[in-house]
Amino acid sequence: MKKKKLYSAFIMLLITAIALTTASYAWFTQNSTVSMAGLNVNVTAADGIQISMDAATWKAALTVEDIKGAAYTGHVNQVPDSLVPVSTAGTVANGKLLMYKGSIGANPTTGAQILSAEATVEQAGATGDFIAFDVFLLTSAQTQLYLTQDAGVTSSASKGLENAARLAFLVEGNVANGATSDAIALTGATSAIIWEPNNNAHTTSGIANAANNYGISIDATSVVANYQGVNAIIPVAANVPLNSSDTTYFQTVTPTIKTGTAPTGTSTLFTINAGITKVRIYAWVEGQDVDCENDASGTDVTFNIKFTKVA
Amino acid sequence: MKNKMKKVLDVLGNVLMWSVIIVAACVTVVSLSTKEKGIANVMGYIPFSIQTASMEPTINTGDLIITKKYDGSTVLEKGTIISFFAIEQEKLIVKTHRIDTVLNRNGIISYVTKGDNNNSIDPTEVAPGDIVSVYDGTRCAIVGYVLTFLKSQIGFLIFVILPLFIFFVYQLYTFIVLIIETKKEEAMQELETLKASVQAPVPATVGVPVQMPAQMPVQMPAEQNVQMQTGEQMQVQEQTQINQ
Repeated sequence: MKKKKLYSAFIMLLITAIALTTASYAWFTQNSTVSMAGLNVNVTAADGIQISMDAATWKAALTVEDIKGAAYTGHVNQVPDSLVPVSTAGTVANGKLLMYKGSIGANPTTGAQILSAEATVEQAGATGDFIAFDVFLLTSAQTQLYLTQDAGVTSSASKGLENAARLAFLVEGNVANGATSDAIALTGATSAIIWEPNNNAHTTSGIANAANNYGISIDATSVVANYQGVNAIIPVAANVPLNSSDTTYFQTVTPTIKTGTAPTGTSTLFTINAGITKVRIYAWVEGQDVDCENDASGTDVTFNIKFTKVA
Repeated sequence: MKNKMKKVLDVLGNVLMWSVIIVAACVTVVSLSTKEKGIANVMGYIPFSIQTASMEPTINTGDLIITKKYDGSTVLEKGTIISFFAIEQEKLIVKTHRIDTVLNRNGIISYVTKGDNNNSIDPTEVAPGDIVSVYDGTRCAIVGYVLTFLKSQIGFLIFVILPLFIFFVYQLYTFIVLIIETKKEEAMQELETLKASVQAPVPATVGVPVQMPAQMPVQMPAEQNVQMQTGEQMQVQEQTQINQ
């Protein structure tokens, strides 16, 4: 009789131990799952346009988790944990945007600040300096595409990083609905549509940076018409000053789309044909923007890309 | 009277403990089950806790609804209640609304949805890939509130982990006490057996007839070691071979 009681007590002890262990594990698991608030990308489509990361599963909304996890096999989607300033003049090669990562140094003779730059190429995964990914658009008829009025780049801390942000759209090509593998293989983009959001907002540090390093006088709401995008590798030995416009290394960039902090309407993007259109999207912090300075760093940023066919 | 009270308390204690274990098991299974974008999937069934009144009176705030995962293989009908992803205020959320219209643009299917309690349709169409699951009609009032709280950090700790820990400690204590009592009993029994064997009288063998078989060869070893055991009586007789 006593032995029977002992066995029952042991079974009960075992059951409560298992229940406690699994419940504790579930509690720890739930609480250790951290959502990455630093860098966020949302892509949405309205009015009958559908979007996809793999040209097969069609949705109306994609998040950064989809970009990282739901893309097609063999993709080169790069979503780093943080952004590092890079620059581009908008040159496209093999369906990809040529990007350059700069470094600030000092002229050994004069001590003045100089710029050097090396090419930075995207790789699939979480390393890298900028965001780049393929998205597929599905529509039933030829469609003029717009960015919605509330599309843009935001930051909760408003340190100015959102003012130096840029996005680019490379239309790689179009195939019929259902031709998934053909859509994936498209790499026919030859030009980039560059979008500069928040072009009429500058922090105090940004204003000072414009004056001190670029010789440009602006105020908090000035619109800077263009900037010198890096278009080639800049060796250190070239001693290129920060405000250089040497066409060997730079090209004047006037963004195709410019929106302020409070857009009053939609922005015209491009026309897509019926079927599946592959678009490569880039998002980065433009190193040659006057708002790209040290005080702007260390904050979160959200890129809201919203497509519509309604003007 | 006291024994009765003790029994009642014991039963109540067991009922409470098993209730906590069952609830803990359910919440743990939901927490640990397959998750896509934070959505728990328990063998194809997805529970949702309703946070807003957009579907009242069909589904009320605080209800727990059970939905079946949607695999995208079929076109849904108007009137079906679906749960789907949407982005609002830069955040990904799950909405549960009714299909108002099914659109088919040259084979491209999308759904216009509307909450039963809303005046207008939702601003964005729902694509098949956005649909998480389909409502199968199963709902439990208020349970949604309870589950939401139990799944929160504090709720889970206070109402699941802590009671389980208390029960575990209690069961451990009970088990240890039982082991000690069992060992005590065994020791007592051994002592009783020892006492009994020391005090038992030696049984008499005089006058007991021994029947000899017709032929009984008895072989005596050259040397014989006899081991006397406590409490045992052993009579050794040397016999020569007898032929009767």
